[in-house]
Amino acid sequence: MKLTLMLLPATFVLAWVAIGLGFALRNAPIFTLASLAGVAVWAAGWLRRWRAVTTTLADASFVAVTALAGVGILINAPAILMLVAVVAALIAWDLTHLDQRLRGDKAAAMRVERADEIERQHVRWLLLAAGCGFGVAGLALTVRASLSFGWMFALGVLAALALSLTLRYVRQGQQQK
Amino acid sequence: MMTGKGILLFALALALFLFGLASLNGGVIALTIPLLVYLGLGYLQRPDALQLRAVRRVSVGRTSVEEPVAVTLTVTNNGQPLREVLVQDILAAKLELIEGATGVFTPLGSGDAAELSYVVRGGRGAYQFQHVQVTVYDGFDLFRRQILLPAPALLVVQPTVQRMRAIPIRPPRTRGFAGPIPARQGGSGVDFFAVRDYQLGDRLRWVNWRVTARNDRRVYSNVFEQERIADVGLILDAREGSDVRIGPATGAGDSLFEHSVRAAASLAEAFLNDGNRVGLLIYGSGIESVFPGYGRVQRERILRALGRAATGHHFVFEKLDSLPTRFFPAQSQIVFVGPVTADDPAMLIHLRALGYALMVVSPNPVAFEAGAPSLRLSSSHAVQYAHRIATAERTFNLQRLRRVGVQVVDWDVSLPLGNVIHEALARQPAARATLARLP
Repeated sequence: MKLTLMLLPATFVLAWVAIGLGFALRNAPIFTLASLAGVAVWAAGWLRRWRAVTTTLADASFVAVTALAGVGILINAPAILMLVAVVAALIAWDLTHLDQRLRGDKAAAMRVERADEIERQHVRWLLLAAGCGFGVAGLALTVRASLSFGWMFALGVLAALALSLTLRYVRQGQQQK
Repeated sequence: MMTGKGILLFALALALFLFGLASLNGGVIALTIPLLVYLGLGYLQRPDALQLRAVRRVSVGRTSVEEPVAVTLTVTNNGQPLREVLVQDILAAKLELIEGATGVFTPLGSGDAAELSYVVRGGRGAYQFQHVQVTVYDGFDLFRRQILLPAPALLVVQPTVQRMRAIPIRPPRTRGFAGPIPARQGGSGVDFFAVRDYQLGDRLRWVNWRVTARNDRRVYSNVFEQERIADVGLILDAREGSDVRIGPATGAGDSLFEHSVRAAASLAEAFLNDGNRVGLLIYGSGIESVFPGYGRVQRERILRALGRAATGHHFVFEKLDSLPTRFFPAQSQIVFVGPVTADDPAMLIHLRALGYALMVVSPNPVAFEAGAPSLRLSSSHAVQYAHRIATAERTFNLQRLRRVGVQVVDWDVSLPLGNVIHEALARQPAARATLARLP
């Protein structure tokens, strides 16, 4: 659990600091204050061990950071800071859920075995996903390419296809329930 | 299927993407890329075909009430390595976990096994373990697959048996082997039975000098009553309608049926210890029977059947009219265990008329219910009148039975059964033989 305990607060604070800094650079103090409030709420929950609401707080925080990052891009805040915020929020959100799972549930008489191995593997895959995502998104933010209508159409069809496949998978999963 | 976490991530990515499209801003769309990569990696690692096998071992197949029982469950993975597996055993509601864990969260490599060990205890009953629930996650907890693996095992918790002294019974017919029950037949024995003419070979000490002195030229010998074993049939009333429950339906609640079961177990033990042949018939939602038999094996059979016994309802068995009267040997001893309801005496009298010696051990439902805390505290006139009416009705029903020669034990379940039986039978000994036969 050492890795989680180390990475989780760091990534969380990084996410909100990046958002706050981005908005501060764009002279939008209201959003900076909002991000400070976000950090304060999460820190209170974390330090006081509000286990029942920790994942809820993490969910809310992740959604808030992503939404604020979208707004930040729109108002021309530094895009790289917004991307850092989203990736850090994603890691923090994931680690909060992992932490909850690895703590077990005494009420349900559940124990956790080989927690270190689970954590190590999880963090490795998480950092891989975050690194790839950050790299590709960073590339997308910096590289500008003009596409013809044909390419645009093909990419649109591909996106629609991927979306429909995903939706079908989700529906299948719900039917299996 | 997708977990709540996965759905939230997908919804967020979709919303961001649509927001980017609506605002015609590529930067916003680019923000969805880390989310989609994360989602995609989770999708690639989603659990697919699972090859898991579960084996359950219970330390004992049958046990006594409140005795701890160790359960070991092993789940083996014979397929691909699984990064995060949650194994959860499903316990019966009446079983109490006293040690260990019923769930484990662990990775399972190919050929690895996860073992769950825990100790439970429970009240009387038959507990059928069926399945173990296994949930396999993709690693990011975005996709999961949940399956129920069969891991059957049966645990029967037998009722508590109270040791009792020999119960005096006198069925009209006994079996051929020596035992403790007066056989209503003259022969060798301990108790005086009758006198007859002296026969060559009679011991001198058997000569009844008083009778001989009163008669000229004839000598009389004492004849003793033979003692043999008998057939005893136990009938346990498991009809839902005759049961009384106080307190909550589960947990700390008490049921009159449980007392009946304990009484039946104690009686079976006492009769078997005397060497009798004992059978059992449980009359509830159906008829469950243990054919008459002797000894320790029969004791185990009866206790196992009593361990599984539960109250039930069936229209056919609402009254005792469907009692199979020929299940027990003719003129044997029958012991009916159950609270006697208003409709029961007719059938019990019929059994007596068929020639059976009948004893009724009746846990008193009126006293049982009156002892419930809710009623004990209530001092309303309505409750007091109801109590008096119920007591009068019960007394009348039991009196009807006594009048036809049924031995009735009116048992207040707060008192020890052995004492109550001996006290009751001392007041109403079994009818002396009218069918006495000399050898």
